[in-house]
Amino acid sequence: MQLLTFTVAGQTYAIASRTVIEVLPLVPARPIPLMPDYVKGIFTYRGHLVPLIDLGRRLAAKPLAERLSTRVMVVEFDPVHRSPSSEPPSACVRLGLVAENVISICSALDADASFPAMELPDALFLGKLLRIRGQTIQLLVIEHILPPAILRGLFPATAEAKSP
Amino acid sequence: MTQSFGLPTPSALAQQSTAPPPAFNDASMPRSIAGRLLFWFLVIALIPCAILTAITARIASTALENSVRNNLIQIAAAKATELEAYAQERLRDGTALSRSPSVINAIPELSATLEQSGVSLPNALRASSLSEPRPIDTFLSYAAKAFGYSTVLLIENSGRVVFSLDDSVPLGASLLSGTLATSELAIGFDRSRTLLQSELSTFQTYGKSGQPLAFVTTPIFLNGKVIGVLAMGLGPNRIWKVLSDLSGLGDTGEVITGERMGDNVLVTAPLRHAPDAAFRMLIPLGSAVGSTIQKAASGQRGYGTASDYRNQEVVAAWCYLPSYRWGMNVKQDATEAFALVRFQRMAIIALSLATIIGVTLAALIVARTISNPIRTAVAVARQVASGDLRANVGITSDDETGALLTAIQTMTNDLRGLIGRIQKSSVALISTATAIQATSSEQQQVIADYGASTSQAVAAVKQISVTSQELVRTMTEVNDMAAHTGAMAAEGRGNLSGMDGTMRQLATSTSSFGAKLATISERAANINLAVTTITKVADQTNLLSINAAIEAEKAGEYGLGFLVVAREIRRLADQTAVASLDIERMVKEMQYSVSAGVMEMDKFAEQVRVGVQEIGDVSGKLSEIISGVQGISGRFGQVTEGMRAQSQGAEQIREAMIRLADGAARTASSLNDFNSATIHLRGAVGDLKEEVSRFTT
Repeated sequence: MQLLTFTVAGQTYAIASRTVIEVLPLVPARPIPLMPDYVKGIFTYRGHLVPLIDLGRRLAAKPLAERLSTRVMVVEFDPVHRSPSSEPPSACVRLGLVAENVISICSALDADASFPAMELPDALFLGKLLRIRGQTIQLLVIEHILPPAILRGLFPATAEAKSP
Repeated sequence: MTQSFGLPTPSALAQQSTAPPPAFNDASMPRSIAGRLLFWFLVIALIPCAILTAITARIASTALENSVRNNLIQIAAAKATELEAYAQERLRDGTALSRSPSVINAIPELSATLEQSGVSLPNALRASSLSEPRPIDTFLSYAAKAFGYSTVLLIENSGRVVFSLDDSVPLGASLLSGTLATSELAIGFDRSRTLLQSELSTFQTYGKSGQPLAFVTTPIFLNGKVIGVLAMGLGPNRIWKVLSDLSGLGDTGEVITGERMGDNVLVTAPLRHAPDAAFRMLIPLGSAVGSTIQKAASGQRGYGTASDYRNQEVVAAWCYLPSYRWGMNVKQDATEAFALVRFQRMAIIALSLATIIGVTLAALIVARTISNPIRTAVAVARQVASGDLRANVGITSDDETGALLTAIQTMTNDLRGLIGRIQKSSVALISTATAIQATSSEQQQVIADYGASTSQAVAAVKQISVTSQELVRTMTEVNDMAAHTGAMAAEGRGNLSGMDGTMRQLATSTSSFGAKLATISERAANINLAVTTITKVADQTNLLSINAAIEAEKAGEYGLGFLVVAREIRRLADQTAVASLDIERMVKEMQYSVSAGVMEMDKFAEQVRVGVQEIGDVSGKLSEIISGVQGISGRFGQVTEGMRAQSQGAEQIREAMIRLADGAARTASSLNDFNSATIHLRGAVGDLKEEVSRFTT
């Protein structure tokens, strides 16, 4: 399994590269009123409106520096099923995740050690911990990266279609 | 005589008007006429009177005392003589009786009877127990009654009592042994038997009767030999009767007798003030009371004043009665004895007081008649002295004092007229003096104003002169300074010209240096641009490689090789990015340094340019100053000259003004003198008027 690594507040995180559609340079986003501060806004990706999430504010409560290596990872997932099927269903949602140092891809096969995921009710997005070449990497579960209420708010049609 | 000084002060009696003026007050003698008269009256009247009285009183007292003394001594002598005669009589009685044959014969008979009767001796010899009286009993009892003896004893030569009329001495008792051996009777018996003469013993109490007895003892002779002793007991009554005769001793006089008994004196007769004192009262020898009886009992004789046994002051004459071995003391209380002397003293004092009072009254009356007119004259004179001329003298007599009063009246009348005229004149004088003083005061005020104005003008001119002089001095200093400033400015201008050239060269070189730095900065900016471009390319390459890797994974097995290529591309891009980052950083630092240098060079160049400009300005101004100062210096000289002339003129004015002020001051001072003279005149006239006004006409 290939992992796309990035850093937030000096710590290294990773997400599975198969959920990533594309990595983009930082794009301007239109702000959404009355949203939590980690929702930077909404931007247009290939004709679709996609919410842009600032992982710096979401994970470490501090904004990201705007550098060349600060990029947007466009991810796609099914909000109900934890593991997305090989073919993306029509009910899948897309999010843009902003992080620093999005410049490297590594393989999970290179991990020296692995720790199981924690089950914290307020932090379900924290997945397994891997140790690769002396560096501890926290895997993120992107289906839970947003709280359910916010997710439902952002994608009402999807939620209603799937909920019954 | 000293009593006259103790009287109330005569001046206080005589003075009835107000206090006298001090001129009357400096005499040590009594001040008024009345006082002096009184003093001399008393002196003349009392001194002879007092001397006469003293001599008379002295003589009378001495005579009285002598009469008392003679009286007492005579009485004492008479009593002593009488008692001694009585004692001699009794001795003669004894002698006569002892010679009678019945007595001589009775001794052997009674001795024989006593030998016979033996044990029942008392009863055998007792006369009362005999059936019939013996002849000796009859004879002796008769003799005792006739001569007044209370008892008669017959005593053998051996001392045994062989006959007794009563029980006072027991019959058959021995006088040489037992209780009677020490009695006075035993002593008398022994003396008569030994001395062969009659003796009178002193009084002593015998037996139970308590009656004191004195025994007359007489030896009885038979054929020239003593065979016994006749003892006749004598009571004290007869002696007491003599002593109690107090004629010539007044109400308190008495006679006291006493005999010595060891250290005491025993009183032997009843006393007027102590009737039961006989043989009971004891007066110790050496005590203060009863000293006269002590002396008498000791055998002395004399006269004097002392205290008696009652501790009363008495006058006493004392002597010794040898027959009885008694002291006798005739005395009288001093108060009674000297009553006449005291009365005489009182009479003299009363008479003296009456004389003093009479003399004082007479002196006062005489003094009053003389001093009254004089006092009237004094009152009038004092009234005139206090200014009241209305005083009127009432002339009452035509003697010397009357003449004095008349003269005073005339003087007062004349004074009254004179004072009236002086008063009128002084009023006129005062008004004239007031007018003169008012005029002179006005004039003085005018002169004073003039003097003040002149002084002010002088002060102002002096101020001007001083100011002008100061100004001249200041102008001179300013001129010097201006010349100095001109010289310095010229020197400064030369220096500035040299500096200006240097600054211009500096500005030129700075500008060229700045231009070179600007070129460097521009090149650095170009390098930076190139580095940025490289960095962007590397970034794009990295992004491309990531996306390629993602896509390759999605392609699965087919994408593996492509994945490796993508990774190599990404690594290349990373290295490029790192290198470009290093270059970028270095270029930025260089650029920053260059731009800072450029900025500083610009600033320096600007400062140099401004400096050059300022130096040019200063140089121009200095030139202006120099030319201005050169022009001013000449004008200052003219101003200074004018000032000096002005100062000299002011000085001349000031001197003139001072002379003027001096003249005014002299005028004012002379006016002042005039004014003070006027004031003195007015004061003198005022004093005169005041003096005159004191007089009431």
